[in-house]
Amino acid sequence: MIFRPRYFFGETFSSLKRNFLMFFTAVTTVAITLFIVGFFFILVYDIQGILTSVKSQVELAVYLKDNVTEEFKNYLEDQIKKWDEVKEVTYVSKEQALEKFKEENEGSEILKEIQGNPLPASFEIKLKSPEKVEQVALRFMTKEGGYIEGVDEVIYGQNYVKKLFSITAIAGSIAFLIIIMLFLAAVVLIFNTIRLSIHARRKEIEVMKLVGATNWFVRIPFIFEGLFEGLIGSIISVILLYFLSSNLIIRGEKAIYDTLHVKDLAILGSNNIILYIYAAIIILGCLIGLLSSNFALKRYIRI
Amino acid sequence: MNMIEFRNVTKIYEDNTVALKNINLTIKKGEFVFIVGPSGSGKSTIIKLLIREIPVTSGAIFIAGRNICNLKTSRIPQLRRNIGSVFQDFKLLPNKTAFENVAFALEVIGKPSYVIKVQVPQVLKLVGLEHKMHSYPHQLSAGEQQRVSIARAFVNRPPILLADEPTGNLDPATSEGIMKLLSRINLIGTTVAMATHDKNIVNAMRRRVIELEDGEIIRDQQRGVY
Ligand SMILES: Nc1ncnc2c1ncn2[C@@H]1O[C@H](COP(=O)(O)OP(=O)(O)OP(=O)(O)O)[C@@H](O)[C@H]1O
Ligand SMILES: [Mg+2]
Repeated sequence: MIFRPRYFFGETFSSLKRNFLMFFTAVTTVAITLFIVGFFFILVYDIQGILTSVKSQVELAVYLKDNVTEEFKNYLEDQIKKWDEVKEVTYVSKEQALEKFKEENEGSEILKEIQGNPLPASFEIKLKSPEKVEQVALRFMTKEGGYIEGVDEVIYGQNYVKKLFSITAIAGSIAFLIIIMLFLAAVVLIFNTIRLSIHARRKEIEVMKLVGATNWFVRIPFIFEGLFEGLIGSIISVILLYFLSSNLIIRGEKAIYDTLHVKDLAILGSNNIILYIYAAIIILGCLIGLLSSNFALKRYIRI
Repeated sequence: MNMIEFRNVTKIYEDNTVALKNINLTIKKGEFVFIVGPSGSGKSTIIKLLIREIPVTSGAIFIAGRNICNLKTSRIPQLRRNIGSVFQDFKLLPNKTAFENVAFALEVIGKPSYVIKVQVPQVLKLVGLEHKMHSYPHQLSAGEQQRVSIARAFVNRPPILLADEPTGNLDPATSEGIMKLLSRINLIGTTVAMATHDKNIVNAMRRRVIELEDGEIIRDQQRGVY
């Protein structure tokens, strides 16, 4: 087949002009559906970010008895460091604990009542995977249910942590499902719209085949058109997302950012994720448009 | 030379309707043939088989000596470029002018635009529509629309022209004009096969008549009547 760009671009463009309503419908469908998918994706991504950040703040505090020796403390510290789940162990001596307490309660009546140093020394343990907090805590327990020698108490907000983890696990998989469903709905809607616009022009295809056009010759203008509709629609959805996120979400998330110190939010542009999301939307839009017209054409091109 | 040959052709549709039963028939180069018969006798099926719109069930069809039944899908466009076809419903594109409708047939087979600029006005002149080149189908009468569709079928100068009830939607006077046009095209050397119900036309033309009934040829007569 001779490739004739002037014919193909001319035919694509003039058919866009003639079938403006169908074109407009297809572009609008792409724009709205991808906007919804994109918006939801950004929202879920950031909520996940916030949750991860909250989870990573889960720590164990292991309080030591006052009578432990320096050797025992070193031994225990070495043991803890060997555990796979542990990211970081910090030893807080009795003196440091008191210092910290004084700082936190400066000017308060409570300081006057303190005599000597009633605060225990402790290990503060940060974990690589906060979900394992309970397992790690159990290592400080004996079979009988008490703490091992030298340990006075282990604190990690038991109930709160359990709830947090089960909620985030459920929310995560629900969000994932919703995104998949929204995406599928978008694909189906776009496919149907493009199929309808091709159906409206089945006569044109019939005539082309009748006078001896090759399948590719029939296909190419339609595929260009689908690609173009996908491109324009997804660009519109990205523009909408940009304005919505910079005017609306960003304010809400700024507040969260300030209180929780979450660093990894898409919307804040603190990393490049938002650009990847925009690029993905445009690439997906083009692909869906192109593949939709390709598949929708199959039925009409057969004769 | 045989332009068209059917050898033991049987066509059974997917729903087991037997449309053609063991048809044998030859049409020579330059002939003008009417295919007549009652509704459902298989006239359109013959046309559709010739342009490979549908496949044969058994038997073989030869065009200019070539068996078209074992043609690869990719070769079908080439076959259709050598057969002009005209239908009862014209099959014109409503959003293209007469000129554009005819030009479209050349564009989609990759003809360069300087050829299109010469050939389209020429063929529109042949069908007597040079003054309506830039009219859209809805601005043309039924007869004029059929002329445009004949111009489109003939613009590429195919050796064969097939017409499936081309006068089915036209009044007698207009039909006569269309028949004159087809005769002229035939006189240039084009092989013409036309399926029709129209008694008056067949009787007036006195050409070869092939009559079908229930998918079988019951008459094949030179200079026949309906
Ligand atoms: N696509 C199809 N599927 C099943 N049966 C079909 C199909 N097309 C035609 N037929 C049947 O095949 C037979 C021949 O049909 P065909 O269209 O060739 O008749 P025809 O002679 O052209 O009739 P008419 O004069 O009404 O146009 C009829 O019984 C018809 O019902
Ligand atoms: Mg018929």
